[in-house]
Amino acid sequence: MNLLRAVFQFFSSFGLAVVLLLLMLVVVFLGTMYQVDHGLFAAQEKYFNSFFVVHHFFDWLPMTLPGGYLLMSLFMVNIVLGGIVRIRKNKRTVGIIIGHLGVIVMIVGGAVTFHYSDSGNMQLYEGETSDEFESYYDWTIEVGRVGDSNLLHVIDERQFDDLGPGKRRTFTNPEWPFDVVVSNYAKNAWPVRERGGEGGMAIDGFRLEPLPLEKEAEMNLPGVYVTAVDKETGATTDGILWGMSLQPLTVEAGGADWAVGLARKRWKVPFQVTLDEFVRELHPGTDMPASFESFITKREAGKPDEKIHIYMNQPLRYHGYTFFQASWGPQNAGPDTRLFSVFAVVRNPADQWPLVACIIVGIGMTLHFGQRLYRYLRKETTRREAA
Amino acid sequence: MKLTVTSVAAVLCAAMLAPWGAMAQPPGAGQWDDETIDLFESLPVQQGGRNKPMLTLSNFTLLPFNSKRSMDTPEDEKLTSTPWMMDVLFFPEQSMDYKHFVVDNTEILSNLGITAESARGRFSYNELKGGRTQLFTLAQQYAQKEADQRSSTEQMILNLAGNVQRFEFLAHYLDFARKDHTTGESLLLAELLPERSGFLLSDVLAKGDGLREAVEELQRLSMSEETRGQLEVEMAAFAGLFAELDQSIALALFPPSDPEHKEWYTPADLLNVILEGGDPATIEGELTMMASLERLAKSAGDSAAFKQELRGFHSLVVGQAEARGEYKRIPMEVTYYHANFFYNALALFVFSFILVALSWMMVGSKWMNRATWVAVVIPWAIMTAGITFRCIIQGRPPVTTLYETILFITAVAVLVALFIEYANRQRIALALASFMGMAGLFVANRYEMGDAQDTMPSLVAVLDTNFWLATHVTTVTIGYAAGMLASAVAHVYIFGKLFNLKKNDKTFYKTLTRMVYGIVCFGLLFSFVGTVLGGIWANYSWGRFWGWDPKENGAMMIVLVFLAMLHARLGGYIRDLGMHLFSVFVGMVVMFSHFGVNQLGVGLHSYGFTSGIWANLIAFWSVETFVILLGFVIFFRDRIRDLIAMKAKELAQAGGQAPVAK
Repeated sequence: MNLLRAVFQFFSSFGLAVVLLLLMLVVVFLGTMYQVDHGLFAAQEKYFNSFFVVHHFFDWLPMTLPGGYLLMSLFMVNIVLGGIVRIRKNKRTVGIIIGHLGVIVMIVGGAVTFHYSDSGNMQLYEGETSDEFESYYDWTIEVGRVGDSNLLHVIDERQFDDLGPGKRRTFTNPEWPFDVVVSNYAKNAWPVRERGGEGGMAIDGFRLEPLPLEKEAEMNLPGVYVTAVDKETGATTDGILWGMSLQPLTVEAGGADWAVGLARKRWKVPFQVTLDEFVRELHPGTDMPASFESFITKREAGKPDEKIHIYMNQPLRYHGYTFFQASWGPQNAGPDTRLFSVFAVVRNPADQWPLVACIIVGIGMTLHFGQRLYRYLRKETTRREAA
Repeated sequence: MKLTVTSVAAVLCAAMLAPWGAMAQPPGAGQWDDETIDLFESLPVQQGGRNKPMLTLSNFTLLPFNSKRSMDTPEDEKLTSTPWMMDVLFFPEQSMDYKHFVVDNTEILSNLGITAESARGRFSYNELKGGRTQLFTLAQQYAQKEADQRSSTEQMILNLAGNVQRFEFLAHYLDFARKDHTTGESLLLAELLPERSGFLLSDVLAKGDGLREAVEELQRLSMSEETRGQLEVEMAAFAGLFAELDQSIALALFPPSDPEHKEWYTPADLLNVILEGGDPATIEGELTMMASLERLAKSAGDSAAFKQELRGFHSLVVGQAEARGEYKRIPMEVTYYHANFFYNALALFVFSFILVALSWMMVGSKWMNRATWVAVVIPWAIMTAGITFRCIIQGRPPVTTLYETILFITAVAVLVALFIEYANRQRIALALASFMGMAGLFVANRYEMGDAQDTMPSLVAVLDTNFWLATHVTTVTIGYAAGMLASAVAHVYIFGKLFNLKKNDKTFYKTLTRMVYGIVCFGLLFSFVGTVLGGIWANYSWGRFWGWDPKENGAMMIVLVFLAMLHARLGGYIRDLGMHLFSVFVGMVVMFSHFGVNQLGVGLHSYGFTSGIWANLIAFWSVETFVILLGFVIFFRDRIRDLIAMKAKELAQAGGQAPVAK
């Protein structure tokens, strides 16, 4: 019982709160500086989404620090136990408790967003229509029967991104006439012509040369080796899949043609978007865009088409998906070039939670600090009147 | 031009020496009267995506050249930016002897192969001309490099090349208008312009179809070998006629008659409109302006005629700009720059600081008390008026650029300090108010000079939203202001303790701690809400609440340090001194978030990239680290003092002799 009490006291203590807040300060600072050389994505993965991070102070002294995810989890425990359960409850602490509740809403919202939201982009030329958006960072191996768009299976990157040099894993599916052996995955790679043929990694005269990761993670082009093993005959088809390949690997098995390819992870949206027109305006006499905007038509079965105008600070929100005007191209477009528009597409169940949290915290703090200010001013007035 | 003591004295002296001669003196460079200057500087011009008065353009053209908004002529006359600009445009030959190019590095001139009496200082165009080719060759080479790969000398050469080029464009802007044009040997032009000489180029453009046909005829001549001789004569005449006009691109002075056409025209643009098949009737207004500009340039030698022409040109351009609804805020901007709000407020804050210091010696004087209040409130009101002017001119909330955040932070910090003074009447916050005003405006001034760019630039598309600028940016900036103010109060505490000031005045130090506490609470509220609002804006506009962008992280760090401080206080880990040391740290974090992250060159918020700030920041952090160390010294000193006092007491109680300092 005493042990339980000690644990409770530890996790609900001011001391833990202060230590966690200061550690967050340190980790946020280090993660911010890390971005300068390694880019946002790497910093996020290393410092903010992690349980532990090994930071090399002055590029030399290694030190293990708790990562953002662990800190946030502990902070959540601390604020619930200390800021809600253990805190004295009276007229003077109402504001504080409300404020803590708001912070909890925000952290839970952050966790929901972190685990359950999808985000990517949809790129459309004027006149084009689409109902899917693709990830910036995540890739999949797509396996499908040629000419049958209904039969398409994907292997998520998370299932093969640990397959470093020499490692392999077999994927199978009852509907496939073959198994897929995946090996030697590289997050960023370049196919090179193999000279001499030594090493045995070359397929059709090419092998994959792994590259250091790009600072902007969306620029990474992964590559992977696959082998299709026919379930009946045992015949194998080898291939290299690469992010920029125009053609997938084709496999003939079970009397049909199959395709195996590497593509950015895609999500379907339950409606279609057609880009009718894209308009950009520059500040007069400069190359600096003053605004860029898209005129789209949203189509959905059983509903009338809807014309929608998407521009900066004015997204389309529909069915839990949000379409933002993100960018456009080609960047060096002349007056007659056909333009494309890029929408950032996000599905986030906790979309509006931060707003709610902000309002709650704002109310709590205003109440608490207002009370204190009022008491202080009254005291000062009495003091002056007494003097 | 404003009347200054020196200009009045100069006029009086001139009048005494040559009472009549002064009137008849031929005008020349630097000899503009006030009305002429007023007219010229309120001319609208389009640059950097917005319409601004010629005054603003002149200010921010001269500033990067000369590191200040005025310069001294070879005759030792001080020229402000407008008359300087007029000299460059209308008396280019004289202005080529103006020493207005600052060269701050001894290597530059030797790199350019120029020998001069001193290797650094201010140089004229004519002095630099010898190294011009080398300057542009080097600049082209350095421009290929990434900005962070250039050495400071390389960057300076690049800047100098930019300035020299800008000067050349301005000095030659009106060459086309000054020249006496003739049709020369050209038959085609003679047919087009029967008068053969004494015409204006705008007259030629007004020929429209005739001019285009003549150009087409040139092309026909080039088809055949037989007409080659004639072609050469014609080409020479055409080139002679249009060469300078083609280069006349420095200033977009002509508001288009077509309201749909957003871009204002330069004289060269008008030539292009005609050559591309435009009907002169559609740009008739613009051609009239061009004709007026040509007459203006020709009349530069005669001040009365010049003024007359300038009036005409001014009313044409202003009339057209007004018709387009683009002139309304131009006179206001002229007033804004003349009023010199922030410089005047800075001077008054200095005065008020002295007054507050004096008032400490005259405790109890009601009269003095009121005077100090007034002395702090007036400069605050002036700077607030300046900020308000900027809001109205830009049609925006008060904070859109890094420069404006400095102004806004200063105004808020002073206001909060005034409120605290109102509450506790200790005259500490009042002193801090004037100090913060002084320091903030000084930094703003240095920043403006260092950046040397129009402080009211066009905004990138995503910032073009007054709602979020007004809510997120102002709240988060108020949070910064609170952080800086808390840090300032903490300095008073730490140095007071260090030097044993007001040793026996416990309430003095208690008051300081209470002030810090109040400011931190206020700051936490605003920085938290401001930071989260930033996230909500980001979520609303591009779908992610938090992206770990450096500026977001910086804002979050401020919130974290405020929170750590308050919880450490509640947990009893820190007391008064600890609160103040934390506050100094808050100030360091605010500086990182405010200036530092913009220097990292990554993220969405690096809109204020200005090199050279790092050096200042590192100096600031070093000093503040030292201040925190001083805090620890105070902590241990007081501990030891207490220990000694305790021991002495024990000894005394035990009947021994207390140690006595010799």
